[in-house]
Amino acid sequence: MTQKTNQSHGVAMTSIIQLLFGAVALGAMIFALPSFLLLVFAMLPTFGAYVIDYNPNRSLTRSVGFLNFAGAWPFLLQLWTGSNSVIQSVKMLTDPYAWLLIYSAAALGWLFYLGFPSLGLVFQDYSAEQQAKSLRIARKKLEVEWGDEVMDRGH
Amino acid sequence: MAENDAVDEAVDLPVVIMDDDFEISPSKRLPHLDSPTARAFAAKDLRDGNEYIFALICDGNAPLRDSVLMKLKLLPNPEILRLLEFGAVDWPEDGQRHKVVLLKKPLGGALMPKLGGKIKPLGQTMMMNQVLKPVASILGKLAFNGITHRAIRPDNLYYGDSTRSSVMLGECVSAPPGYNQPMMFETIESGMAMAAGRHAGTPADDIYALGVTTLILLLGRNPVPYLKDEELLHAKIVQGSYGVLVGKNDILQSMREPLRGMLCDDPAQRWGNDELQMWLNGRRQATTRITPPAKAMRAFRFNGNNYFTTRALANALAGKWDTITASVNAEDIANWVDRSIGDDDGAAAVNMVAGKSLDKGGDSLKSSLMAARVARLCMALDPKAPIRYKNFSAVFDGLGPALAANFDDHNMVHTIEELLLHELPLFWLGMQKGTTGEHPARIRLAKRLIQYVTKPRLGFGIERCLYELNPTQRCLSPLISHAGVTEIHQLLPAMERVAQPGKTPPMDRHISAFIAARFAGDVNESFVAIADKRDNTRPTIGFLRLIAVLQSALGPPSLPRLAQAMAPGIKDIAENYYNRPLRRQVMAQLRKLMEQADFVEIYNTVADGATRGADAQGFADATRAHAAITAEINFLERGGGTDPVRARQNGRQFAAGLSMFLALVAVAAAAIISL
Repeated sequence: MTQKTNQSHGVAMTSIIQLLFGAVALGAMIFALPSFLLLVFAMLPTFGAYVIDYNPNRSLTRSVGFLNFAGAWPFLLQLWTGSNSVIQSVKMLTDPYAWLLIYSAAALGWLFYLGFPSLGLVFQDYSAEQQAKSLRIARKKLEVEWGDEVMDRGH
Repeated sequence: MAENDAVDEAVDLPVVIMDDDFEISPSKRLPHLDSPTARAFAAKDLRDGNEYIFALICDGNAPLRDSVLMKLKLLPNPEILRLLEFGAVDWPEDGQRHKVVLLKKPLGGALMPKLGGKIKPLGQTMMMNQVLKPVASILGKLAFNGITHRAIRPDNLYYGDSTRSSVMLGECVSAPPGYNQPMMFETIESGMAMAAGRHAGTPADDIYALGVTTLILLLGRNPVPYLKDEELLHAKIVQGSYGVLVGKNDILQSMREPLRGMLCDDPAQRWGNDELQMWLNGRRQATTRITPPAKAMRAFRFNGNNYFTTRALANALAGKWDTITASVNAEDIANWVDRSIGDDDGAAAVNMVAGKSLDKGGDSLKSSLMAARVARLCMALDPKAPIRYKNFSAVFDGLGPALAANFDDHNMVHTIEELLLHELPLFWLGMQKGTTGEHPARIRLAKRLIQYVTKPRLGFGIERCLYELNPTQRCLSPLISHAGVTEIHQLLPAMERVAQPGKTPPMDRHISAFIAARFAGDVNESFVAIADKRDNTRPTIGFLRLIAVLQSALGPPSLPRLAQAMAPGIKDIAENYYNRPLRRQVMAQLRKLMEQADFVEIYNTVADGATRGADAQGFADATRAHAAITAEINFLERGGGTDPVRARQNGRQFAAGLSMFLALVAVAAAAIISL
C-alpha cells in the first residue's frame, strides 16, 4: 500500500517537473527565442542521454548535461553580450567550431559516464585485496603468537 | 644369669651409631635380654662411655608404644628398666631400617628366663618383699603418670642387683600393649583380642597380669601348661580366671587372698594398687567375692554344645563364624537372652542385629554380610569383648597396632577393610556402656576411618587408616621403605634419595596416605590431580604442587634429584603453554629454576593456575579471532568484498559529480573572462 502511494507520488512529481519544464521552454521560446534556439540545438546530446538514461538518479543525463551546458555557455554569453538576435543565434549554430566545442564537452561527459564504472570496479577489487592482505598479516601474527594449534582448533 | 655375657655373632658387622650418642654392636648379641619381638644387642653411651646399656632391635611391623615412650624416658626409676632413647637405625644385618629402643641393663637376670620352664618357687616373704612391693610401687607411679605397663610376666621381671634383693619391671615399649603377653596373663576381655589388637587398658589389667605372675612365681611353673589358648579362654569364661589358674594348686591360704583379688574377672571388683599396697602393709582385706556372670536357667544349644552365658555363646559364635549359616536365628538368641537370662537390654541389642537382611549380593557378599552379622551378634551378646570379625579380633584402640602388625598379610588387611566398611567399630562403640570422655572422639575417629576406606582414591584407603591410627608408623611404601620415614619432614629427603632422572617420581598409595595423615595442609587437590589420567600434564602439575607445598612447609630448600626426575614432565607442562612468547619466557626461566630445584618457584613459574588460566583464555580468544579472520579472508577471496553493480553505480555517480564540478569551473571561468 505504502509502495503504491510512493509510486503514485513519484509519477505526480515527474509530471509536475515536465509541466514546469514545458512552461519554462514555452516562456523562453516566447521571450528569449535566440537563446532558446541555441540551447535547443546545443543540448541535443543531453536530450538524447535523457531519453536513453534508465538510471533512477539520471547519472548519464547529469554527466552529459553539465558538461554539455558548460560547452554551450560561452556562446550564450557571446549572444547575450552581443545583438542577442535569431540571426546571430543561427550564425553560431552554423559555426563548426561552436559545434565542436559544445559536442566535445558533451562527449567528455559521456566518456566519464562510460569510463568511471570500470574504474570503480578496479578500485573496489584493489580495496578488497588490500583488506585481505592486512587480514592475512593479522592471522599470521596470531599463528606466530599462539602456534599452529590456533589454526587447528579454529577449523 | 651372667650380666656381661654378650655372645659374639659369627659375622663381624660394623657398629651402628644412633643420633651420635649411642653405639650399637650388631655382632654382640644379648639373647637373655631379648623380648619376644625384639633382639637385644650390646650398646654403649658415647656421651659418658657407659657400656652397661643394651639395644632392643625390633623385628616385624608391630609399632612401638608411641603414647608412653616419652613419658617413660622422663621417668627414671630403679623399679623399672630405664629407657634411655628410642628411634630407628639402618641395621647392617639386613640393610633395613629397624625401630630401636635403648635401655639400661638390669643388674640381675630374669626371674624366670623361660615361661615354659620351671624355677624354684618363691616363698611368700620373698614374694611380698622382693617382688610385689617394688612392682606395686612402680605400678602406682606409672598409673600416676597415666601409663599402664601391659607386659608384666615372669620373664620380664629382673633382679635389680646381683644379690637378688629386689626386682624390677622389664621394658614395655618395644611392642603394642599386651602384644607380647601370652593369653594367660590377659583378662578375659583382652585375651579374646589378637595380640596386636589389645589396648593399653587400665591399671586393673596390670594388676591381673601381676596376679598371674605371682601365681607362676609361687608355683615355679605354668599352672595350666596342658591348656591351649582357646581352651584356657573358654575355661576362664566358664569357671572364672581364679578357678582355672589357681584351682587346686598348692598355694598358701594367705596368698590366696591377693590372688583372688588380683584375678577377679570383674574389673570393678578386682583389687587395685591401693588394695594390694594395703595387703602388703599387713592390712587384711575383706575376701573378694567373685560374682559369676548372669547364667541362663536354660542352655542355648549351638554346634552341639550348651551355653549358659552370653559371653560363652558369643565366644563360640565368634570362633565358628565361617560355619554359621542363616539357620542360627538371632531372634531365638534374643528370646533366650530375654527369657532365660532376663537381660532386656541384651535382648533388645540382639533383636537389633536380627533385623538386618542378608538377602542381597553374591556368595562373597553374603558371606561377608553373614560374618558382619555374627560380629554384631557377638557385640550385642558381649559388649565388653573386642570387635571380632572373621579371624580378626581387636578392641577399638587396638585397631591401629593390629593393622600395623598385620599390614603384610593381605587377607588380614582385607578383613580389616571389610569390618570398617560394615561400620563394625561404630556398632561396637554404640554397644559400650559407662563410656569415658574419650568416647565422642573415638566415634569421630571411627567415622573418619570408615570414610577413608570407602574412598579408594590417593590419600585415602586402608593405608590412610594405618597412618592415622599409628602416629609413629613408618611409611611402608616399597619405594622408600628402607628409609624408615616416620615423620613428615623425613619424607622429601627420602623421596629425593630414591628419585632417578628420567624415571617416574616416587609416589604411591602409601606415600600419599602418609602425607595426608601427617601433613596439616590441604593436599587433596594435588592427589586428585595426580590420579587424573584424562590429561598427561595434570598428574605432573598435581605432583609439582604437592612437592612445592611440602617443600615450602618442611624444606629442604633444594631437591635436585626430584627436579631431574620430574624434568620431562615439567618441560611438557611448560611446552603446554599456548602462548609462544610466554612459553619461551617460561622455558628460559625454567633452566635456572631446575638448577636451584626450588619446587615452589618451579610451580609458580610453570604451573601457576592464574597464568595457565589466562593463557587458556587467551588461546580461546585467539582461536575465535583466527576463525573469524579466516572466514573474512575466505569471504574476500570468494569476491565477497566486491559488488560490480554497486561499483558501477558509484562510478556513474562519480562521473556525474565530476561533470558538475568541471562544468561549474568552466562556467565560472567563461563568465570571468567575458567580463
